[in-house]
Amino acid sequence: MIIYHLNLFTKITLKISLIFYVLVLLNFAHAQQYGLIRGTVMNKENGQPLPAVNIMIKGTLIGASTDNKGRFLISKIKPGNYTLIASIVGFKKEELKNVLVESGKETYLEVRLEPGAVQIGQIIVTAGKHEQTFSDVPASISVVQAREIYSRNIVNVDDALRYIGGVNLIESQISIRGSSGYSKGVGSRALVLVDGIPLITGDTGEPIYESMPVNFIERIEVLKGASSALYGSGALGGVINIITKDLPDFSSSWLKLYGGFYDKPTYKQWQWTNSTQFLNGFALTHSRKFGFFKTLISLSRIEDTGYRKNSRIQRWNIFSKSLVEFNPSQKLSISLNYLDQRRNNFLYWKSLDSALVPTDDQLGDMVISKRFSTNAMFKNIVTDKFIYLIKGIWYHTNWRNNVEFSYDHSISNYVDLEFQFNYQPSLKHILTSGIELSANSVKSNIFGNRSGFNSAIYFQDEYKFYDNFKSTIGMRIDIARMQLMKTLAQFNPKLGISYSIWEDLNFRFSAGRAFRAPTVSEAFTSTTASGISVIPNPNLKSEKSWCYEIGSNYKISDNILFDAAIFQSDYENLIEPKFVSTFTGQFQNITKARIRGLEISLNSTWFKDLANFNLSYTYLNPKDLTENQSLKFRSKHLLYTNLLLRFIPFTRTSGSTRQYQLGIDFRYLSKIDRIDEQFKLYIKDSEERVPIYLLDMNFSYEDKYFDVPIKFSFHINNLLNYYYVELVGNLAPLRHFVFRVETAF
Amino acid sequence: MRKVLCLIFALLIFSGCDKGLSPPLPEKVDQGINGIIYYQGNYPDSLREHRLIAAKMYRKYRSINEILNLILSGSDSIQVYPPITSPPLPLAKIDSLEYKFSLPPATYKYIAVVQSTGDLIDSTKWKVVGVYGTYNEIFQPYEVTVKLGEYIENINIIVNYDNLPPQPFY
Repeated sequence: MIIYHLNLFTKITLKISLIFYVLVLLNFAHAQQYGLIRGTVMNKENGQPLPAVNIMIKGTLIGASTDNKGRFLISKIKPGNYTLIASIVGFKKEELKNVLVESGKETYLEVRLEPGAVQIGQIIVTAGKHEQTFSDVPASISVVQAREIYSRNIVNVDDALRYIGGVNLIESQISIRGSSGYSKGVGSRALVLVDGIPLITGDTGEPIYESMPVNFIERIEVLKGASSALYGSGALGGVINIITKDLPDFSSSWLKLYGGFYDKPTYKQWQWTNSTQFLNGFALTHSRKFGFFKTLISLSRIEDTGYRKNSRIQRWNIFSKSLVEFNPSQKLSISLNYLDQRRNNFLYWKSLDSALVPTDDQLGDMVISKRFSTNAMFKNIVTDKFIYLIKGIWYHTNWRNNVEFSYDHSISNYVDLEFQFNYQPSLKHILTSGIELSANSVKSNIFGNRSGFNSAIYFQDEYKFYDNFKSTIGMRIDIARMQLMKTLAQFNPKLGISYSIWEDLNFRFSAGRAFRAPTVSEAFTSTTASGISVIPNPNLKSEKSWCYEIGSNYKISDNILFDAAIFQSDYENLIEPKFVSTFTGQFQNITKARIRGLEISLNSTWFKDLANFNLSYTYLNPKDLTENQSLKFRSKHLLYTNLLLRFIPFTRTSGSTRQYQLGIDFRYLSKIDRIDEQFKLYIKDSEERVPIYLLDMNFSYEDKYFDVPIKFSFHINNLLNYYYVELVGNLAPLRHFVFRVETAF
Repeated sequence: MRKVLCLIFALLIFSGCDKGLSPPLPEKVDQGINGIIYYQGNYPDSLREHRLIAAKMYRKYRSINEILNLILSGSDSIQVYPPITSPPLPLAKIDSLEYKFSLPPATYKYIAVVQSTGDLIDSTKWKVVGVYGTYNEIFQPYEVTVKLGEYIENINIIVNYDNLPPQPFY
């Protein structure tokens, strides 16, 4: 009966919303006369054009970012006087006041940005599903810029996430502020998006980082804390939004080649081969523009022979992104991604004495996967006060586990369609709302043949009481249905407040509820591997959480930004694998948990952006309230630092193209207090773990030869050759050396 | 900022010293010989030293001094049980004594019980009183090969004070 009422409620709400949106659309369908702003943004020091600068028109929803030649165009602007904000990391934010826009006319601007400042006015899109400045967001958000990502040799997107404050990974299972432990790779308590579109598998509900476009990241935004009020299931610990680069306006090709090798282990007992273990890869990309159509296609391959026995990886990846610009206010972007991968499966070591060799039954074990995704986004700027987006994705995965005595396989499809509306009825309100529908189907010998359907509606109002005091109220209703399981309904509200005492000192408060519906793999897995059986549990309920946070950021000086936050997350019904008998496990709602903590970060830039130093420290007190012990698989202390030094010979004004760069990353994670006791039964030396100290270093040199830019870089990961485990019985990568060459032509 | 940098530097130094996980240390491997020494005949008065030796070579030594020098110089050609830094075997009259003599892996051609009525370094007072020999000829030394991690059992030696073996000196 309750389900019937919920269904009825959803249908009515959906209908009302649709009518509302149609009315709004009709309202704006009246032809109006608009003006436009065209301009160029340059470096004040050397006059060079600045790409990827965010331009926002204050008091509207519209903006643009500059292309490779520093150019931008904003259309559909009602006549009037405006203030434009231009911002990019490493440069001082510039506010251009009294920009006059006249009906049917074009206003031209030349903006010059001064280098050497940390950004409190940085533009982000994840917190409110529209462009906002960093200081307006009532939640903690970390942003990793492209230059930080590409200074490292990142092969998978998850490698880039390891350097973000408050984030850590166990294998590829991501945890934001301790939200996740380790649940055998299924389910994710952080929602991973690519350009705002969820990229999770239909069967295990996890993000597959290998199939994300690692070579085209503009930045990664990490929204910390419960975010289901806007994003729905999975955003329990937060949201990771990978924003890809805009397509260039000209034809171009890039080539990236890299090769490297792993160091030999120090201890004789661990030397399982006399051969050197190599890793190598390439990415070849070409972009082209045909009138209003821009496209990019990339082919990449990686091969890693692995530092452990039976851990070889071979991967081919094809990525394509196209953009159709019908006019400056209507754009359609389409991405395609195909991945073909063969990866040996190293589940756990034989013993600490043979830490780089798996048990004999794992030898030859291999996972063969083919994954295909296509997503599309249509953006229409109806007026400067109203924008709508239609986003969709189809994600197909097909994997099989080639083990001698078993042949596990799964084919899944995940489809998501979202209609999003941003409307600014007055200068005080910004409304964001939408409807999201998703469906998944799975055919698998271990999960069975399953299908599910989810529908959701969300609404958010950002209300400006005063220029320096804003509130955000939002809510979302999700209905999740899966075969053989009860329909799950979830209402997630949120409240956020941001208050600027003065421009450089901001306070924020947020409280919100989040949930994660069980995945097919958690509810229906039925398999046996390495003597351990997993049995289904269709009675699983959704995980739920309440998160609260108080934080502040303070710009100590033009070049130093300090941020601090205290937070608490209360979790219930956490789905964890549990042994129901000695060798039989099942996913169950067992854990009630509370995670309290604090996080501080410091971002600084020196010598006109030639040196950057960033630091973040997170303290977690993760309590398992069911067992009154520390939560499993959590480090209490996380300290990450990053130093990036650039050296440009002569002077910045000389126009020198030569540049040297040195990057150093240091990460410390305290020893995990607890792991699953049952691991002891089948993994020898499973209790062996240590705190993690990791030092990575990279050096690069770039110049132009015959007008062709070329960049050489050398990377040493795990420079100290420190031996540690993230996951029980899995020694993390040994020191390895990589040499990389990149060019564009 | 200075404090933060110092803390990071300290962490770096600390982490540089530590290599993290390492393979477990191998369990201490021991090997040698064990058996019983049987005492017969008239037990000597005023016994001051009483030990077991195992020599890799069997030859006539110029004097007991040569043997003592070899032992004191730390040469591994002759092993002593108990080591000379430890108290000797029991000095009071006994009928038999069980022993366990830890030895480096090697072939030992001469295993004997030696005694002295004088000080450890008084070469004139030392005598060989028992030899591990063949079944038929108990004074004919019998070689023993000690392998890594193995104890050879039943290396029994008879000490007959009324019938001492030939002394290995010129």
